[in-house]
Amino acid sequence: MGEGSSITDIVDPMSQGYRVASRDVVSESFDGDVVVVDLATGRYFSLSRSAGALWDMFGAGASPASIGAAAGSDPAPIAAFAETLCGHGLLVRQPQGSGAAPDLSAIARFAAAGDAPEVAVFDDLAELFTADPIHDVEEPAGWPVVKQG
Amino acid sequence: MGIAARERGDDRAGTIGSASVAEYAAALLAMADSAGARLQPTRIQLPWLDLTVRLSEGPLKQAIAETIVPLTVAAGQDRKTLSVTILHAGLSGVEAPRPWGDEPYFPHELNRRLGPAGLQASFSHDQCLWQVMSSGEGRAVQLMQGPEDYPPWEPGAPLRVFLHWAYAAIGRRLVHGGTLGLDGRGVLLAGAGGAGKSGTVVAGLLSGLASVGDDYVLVDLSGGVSAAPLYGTLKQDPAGYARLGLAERIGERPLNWQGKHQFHVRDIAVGPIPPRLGLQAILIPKTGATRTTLEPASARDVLLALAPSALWQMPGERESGFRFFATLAGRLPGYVLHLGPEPAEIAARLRRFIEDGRP
Repeated sequence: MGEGSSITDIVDPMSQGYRVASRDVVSESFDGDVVVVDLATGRYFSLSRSAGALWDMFGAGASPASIGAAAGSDPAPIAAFAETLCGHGLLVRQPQGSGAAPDLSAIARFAAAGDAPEVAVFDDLAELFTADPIHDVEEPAGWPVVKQG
Repeated sequence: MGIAARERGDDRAGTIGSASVAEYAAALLAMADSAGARLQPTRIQLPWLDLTVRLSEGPLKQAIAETIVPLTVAAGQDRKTLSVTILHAGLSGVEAPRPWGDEPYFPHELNRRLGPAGLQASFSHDQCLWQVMSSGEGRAVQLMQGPEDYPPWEPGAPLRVFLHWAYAAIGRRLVHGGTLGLDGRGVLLAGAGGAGKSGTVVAGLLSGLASVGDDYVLVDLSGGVSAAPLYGTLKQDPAGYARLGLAERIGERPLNWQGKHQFHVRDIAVGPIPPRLGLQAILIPKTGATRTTLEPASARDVLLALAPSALWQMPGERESGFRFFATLAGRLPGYVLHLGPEPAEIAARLRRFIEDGRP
């Protein structure tokens, strides 16, 4: 690898795989409505229906290219959404990919969703989760909050 | 503190760190066995749990007697025991609590570390207070600097952390929510503080509905979804206290640490606190409507209302709690409860909902 480059520079973003970033990132699905929470940061994420289907497939190692091929969709927005999830700390890249084929039921959910892959972030409690409650917090009128200043 | 911990270098100035916490936790449990034997036990039967508490006379013991709701029906089978000893420095054979050191303290990481030893622990910095439990052995200890050096919220829900750990170990949970019911059936009210949850519970009680508690209730998912009482504590800020006419009904009550009047379900309930309510829906209250209505909410919205505060307020491992709340959210229909301004109208709407089982 040349100076100044990284492995992500030479890997095709459409064919690389992803995995869930850590054991603190857990999710639940309610008939296609997916909620993801990062137990370490306290951030909650609500995924649109198509995003929930993609979440399942990314977590199982499918690449944007394989999902796009199976769904008959442009893989570029799928890869862009995977990168969005990476930016939130929910997924990490696996440049080698897993070679996993996308789950057909998830492909069907993705195709039937009829919405754009989107993620809504709820971070009201994030400061509390990430604070060290001994060294960084004080009592407010309720529960500890992060010390200011 | 043992020699091994000192050699690891995490016993600087007598502080505790991640390398020494398991050893210290075990030492505190041993201290509870010896020093606690001199304290008079108080025995309380709770749902699925025979609780024994040993502590000195004082406000905390009084709060336990006043706020915890003992089981009023036959105890049944499949019960666990929990023995909690509450100690403070100055009691015979009790050392002062050691503070956490310079190392960052993250509750769920701490409990991941203690899990293999079968232990759970929580440290409150402001009071230098340790809470340690061995769920498998049903033993727990709280060590304080002085007899009243506990968090200000403790008298409203005493032993909350120990009950959380004990019930989580048997697949049940303390849920941060309020309840209202009628003839054994009812609803769970969940949501952020200030959303109108507690005012709704009080309005319902004043109109003759029952409640198994506000703030924290015990939820069981085995069979149907049900809630059982643990605490009878109710709280209202002065504005709510006035709006609900509570001063005329029960007189003035002192303000607690939050600046709220604290009282008890039995002060305003028409009948005794029921031993359980079969839950038929989860309601997310929202203030600001001109009349009270119910609007369907998704399980996702219910989970987002239920889980965050409960996960934050309870120390320890978080994933099983998230899974529990997700199961709960998926098992019951959810509704946004748009609250009108009149307590009697709110209560009447909820009574109809509980009687009909649908909006």
